[in-house]
Amino acid sequence: MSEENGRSDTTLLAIKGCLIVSLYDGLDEKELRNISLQILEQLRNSNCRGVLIDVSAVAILSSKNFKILADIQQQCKMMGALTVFVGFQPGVAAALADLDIEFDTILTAVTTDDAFKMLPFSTSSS
Amino acid sequence: MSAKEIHAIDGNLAINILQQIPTPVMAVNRDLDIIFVNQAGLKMLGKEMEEIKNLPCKDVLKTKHCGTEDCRMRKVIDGGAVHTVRNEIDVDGQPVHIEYTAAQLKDDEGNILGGLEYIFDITERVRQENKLREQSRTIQEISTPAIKLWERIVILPVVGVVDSHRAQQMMNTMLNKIMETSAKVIILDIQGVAAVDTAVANHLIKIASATKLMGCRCIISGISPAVAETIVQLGIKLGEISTNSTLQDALSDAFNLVNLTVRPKE
Repeated sequence: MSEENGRSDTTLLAIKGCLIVSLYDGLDEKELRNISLQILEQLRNSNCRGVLIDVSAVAILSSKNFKILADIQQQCKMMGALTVFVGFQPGVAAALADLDIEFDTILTAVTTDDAFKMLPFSTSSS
Repeated sequence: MSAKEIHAIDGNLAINILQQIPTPVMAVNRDLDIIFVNQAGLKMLGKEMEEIKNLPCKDVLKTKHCGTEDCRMRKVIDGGAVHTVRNEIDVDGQPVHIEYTAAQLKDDEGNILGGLEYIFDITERVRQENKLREQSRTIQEISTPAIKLWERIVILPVVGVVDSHRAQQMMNTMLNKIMETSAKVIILDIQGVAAVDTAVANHLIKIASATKLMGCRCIISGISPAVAETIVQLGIKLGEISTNSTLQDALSDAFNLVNLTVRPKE
C-alpha cells in the first residue's frame, strides 16, 4: 500500500479467521491511521471476524493516539469484526487512567492466550 | 528576707529573677552589642559576662542568622513586631538547634534602646520530628504490598488513609504486579480503610479503570455497611467494578473468573 513514510507496511497475520497486528513504539498519528486502513482493507479481503492488536511494545501513548485505537475498534466493529487489545504497559494504563479516559468500549486482555479465548476463531478448516 | 515577706519587686529582686530564668535571655543595644546575658545564657556560651560585655552579639553567638538578613534582632530593633524563629547556634564547634524570640527593648518613654532575646534549646523537638518523618516513610514503604494469591489472582490489602499520593503508589504497585504475574483478577481489599469519601472512591475507580485497560478485572472487597451507605448516599457510580463485603466472597468470585472450583477432598 502506501510507502510515503519510507517504512514498509505493518505485518498483518491472518490465522483461522483472525487478524493479528503488532504495533511498534513511536508511532505517530499518521502511521496509526495508515495501519487502521490496512486492517480494514484486510478485513474486507478476507473472512476475518476478529482482530488482535498487540500494544506491548508501546511505551508511550498519547490520548489522541488512544482515541485512534478506540476508533479502530469501532471501525472494525462496523465491518463485523471483534477487536481485542493485548499488552497495555503499566505506565500507559496509569497515564490514561489519570487522564480520566473512558475505557468501557474496548476489550482488553493480559496475555495473548486470554485474548485468543475471546476471539472468534473459525473452527472449520477451510 | 523570708519568702513570706516579698510583696514588691525591687531592683535587686528583679535582677535575680532575670538571672535565674532557666533559659538563655539576652539584651543588646541598637548596634547589636551585648549589654546583658543571664546565667543560663552564660552557661550555654561557656563564657563569663566580663568576656563578652559590649561585644557584637554575632561574634559571641555565632548562629546561622548572624550578620545576615535573617537576623530577627536587627529586624525587630528597626521596627518590626515580635519574631519567633528557628536557628542553629554554634556551641564549641557543634551546631545546636534553637528557637529564639526577639522583641524591642524600650525605656519608660518608649524609645527603643535595643532588643531582647530569649532562646529555647529545641534539640529534643528536632529529634522527635526527624524520627516521625522516618517512621512515616517506613509506613509508606510497608503499606502497599501486592501479593500473588493464586495463579493469576493478586490481592492488595489497603490499611489506613488513602490520599492521592498513596493512591498513586497503590496504582503503580498493582499495575506492575499485574504485568509481572499476568494477573487476570486483582482484589483490592479496603477493610482497613477507615473513611471512604468521594475523593477516595474516585481514586479507587481510577485504579480499577487502569487495571481494566491492562485486561485485568478488579474486585473491591471489604465494603462495610457504613461504606456501602456512604457510597450510595454520595451517588458514586462504580460502573463495572464488582464489590464484595468479605475477602472470602471476593476470592470465590475470583476463582470463578479464572474457571476454578474449590471442592472438598473425596
